[in-house]
Amino acid sequence: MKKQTIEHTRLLVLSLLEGRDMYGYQIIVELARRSNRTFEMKEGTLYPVLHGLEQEGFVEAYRQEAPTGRERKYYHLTRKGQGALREEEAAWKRYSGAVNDVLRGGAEAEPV
Amino acid sequence: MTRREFTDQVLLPLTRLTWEEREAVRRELEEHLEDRMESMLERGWEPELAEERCLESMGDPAEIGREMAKQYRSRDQGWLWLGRAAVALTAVLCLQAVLSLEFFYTWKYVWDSVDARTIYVPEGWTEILDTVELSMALDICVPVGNDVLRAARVNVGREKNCDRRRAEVVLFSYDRIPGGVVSTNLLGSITVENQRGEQGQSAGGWGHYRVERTAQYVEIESGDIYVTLVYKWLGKTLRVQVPLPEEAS
Amino acid sequence: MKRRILSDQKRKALRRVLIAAAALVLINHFLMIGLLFPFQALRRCEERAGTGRTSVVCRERAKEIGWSCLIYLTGNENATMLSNISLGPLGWGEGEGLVLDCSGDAPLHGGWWSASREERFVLYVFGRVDDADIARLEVRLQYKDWDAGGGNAARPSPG
Repeated sequence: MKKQTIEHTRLLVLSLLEGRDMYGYQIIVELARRSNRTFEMKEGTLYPVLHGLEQEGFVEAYRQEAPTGRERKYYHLTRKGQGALREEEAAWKRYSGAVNDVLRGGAEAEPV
Repeated sequence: MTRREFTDQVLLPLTRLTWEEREAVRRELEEHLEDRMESMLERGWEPELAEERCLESMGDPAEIGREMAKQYRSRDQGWLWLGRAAVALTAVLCLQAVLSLEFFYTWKYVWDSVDARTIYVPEGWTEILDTVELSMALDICVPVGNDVLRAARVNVGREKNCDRRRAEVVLFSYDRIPGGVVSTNLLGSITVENQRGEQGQSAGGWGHYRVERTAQYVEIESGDIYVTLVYKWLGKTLRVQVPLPEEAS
Repeated sequence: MKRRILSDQKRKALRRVLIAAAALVLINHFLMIGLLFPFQALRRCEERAGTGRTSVVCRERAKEIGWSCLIYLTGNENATMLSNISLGPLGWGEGEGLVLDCSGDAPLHGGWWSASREERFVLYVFGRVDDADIARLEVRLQYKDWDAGGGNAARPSPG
């Protein structure tokens, strides 16, 4: 199956973490599940994203026992991260709105 | 490619991370592979094929490593170097502590410094008298600058081949703070006087940086009830009265 | 559920600094080594001499007797002190110095201190002038025969 490269990986990850704290493998599985397998990325490439978010202070990491019984490194969205999520959401909306406009053949009413 | 080779390749460009941080990254990736393997084995995959597939689905290890390294490029290394400087300083201090010849004796000296504050000089202990007729324990403490002078015992007796009776006062000096340095000029500047103002002498003593002990003695006559310690150094004068033990009737 | 927050560099660094500071204080105080600055050794000289706090009048390097050797002249109202401080493998430390009792009424207090190393020799004549009328000091050094001992004379001249 051809894996599609994803833009806006950060937005997707931040959005998933808003719901609850997750560890890397969980995020991959959840991403595939929610998007009906549209988003199936090269799994290793998730980790640079997570570490980048951690360095910027948008997420916090800790180790905890997972439902599988083993200990995993969990990521938690910080307040700063929530702000970043809002910003990225807004940017995405602008972008996707513009794409829609072009596809529909012209600027109509602003998407709400 | 084995798992180890895979993670090694990912970790290669992560030069800005400490060894512990790199191993933590390795651990995180291995745990991911562990989870992925488990799910594949559950679905009936053969172990060798599953292993291959796992690593393949992770992506290019070199690229993962490069991307990861990019995230740490702008990291502030200040704290890391501060921590390392602190460790270096601690190591140097410990090395000096072991090298210093003092090390093994020091703890005894420090104990002496604490001990001198409360030590009970036993009855009959004397620096110079040959016969001790009367003795009394004292606990007279006088602050002198940063240090403390303590008179611990007074003896009355005689030396061999001497008619006159003598009073001997056993003195300690130590710093106010336990383990601290005491002035060598404290006990050195003390003389003892009898009631007639005659000065006595020092009977020698013992000391190191933190504690000093000496005995001062002076001739007394019967009927004397006290002797006086006189401290004179750098313009400061102190007079301390030391009561003599009462005659047993 | 076990929860372990991964320590970040800042926290680790601060903890290490704290340990280093504690080790420094303990080793400085109890073992009396590992002094990082010469003024700490100077304070110890003051403690040993019983002069109390003194202030530094001047400081000189005495390279003849040691590459790191510093000679401090310090004093307060009742004392003038010369201290010999140098850096060794165990940190800054002091050697034998000299304290002058200046609490008396004399117009002039003086003393001398010397040290030698291999074939090099230094001699410091120091003191305090308490009489405001004294404007010139004449220091005369006399070197006598080895058997008879050395000597020096310091004489104030008014005017």
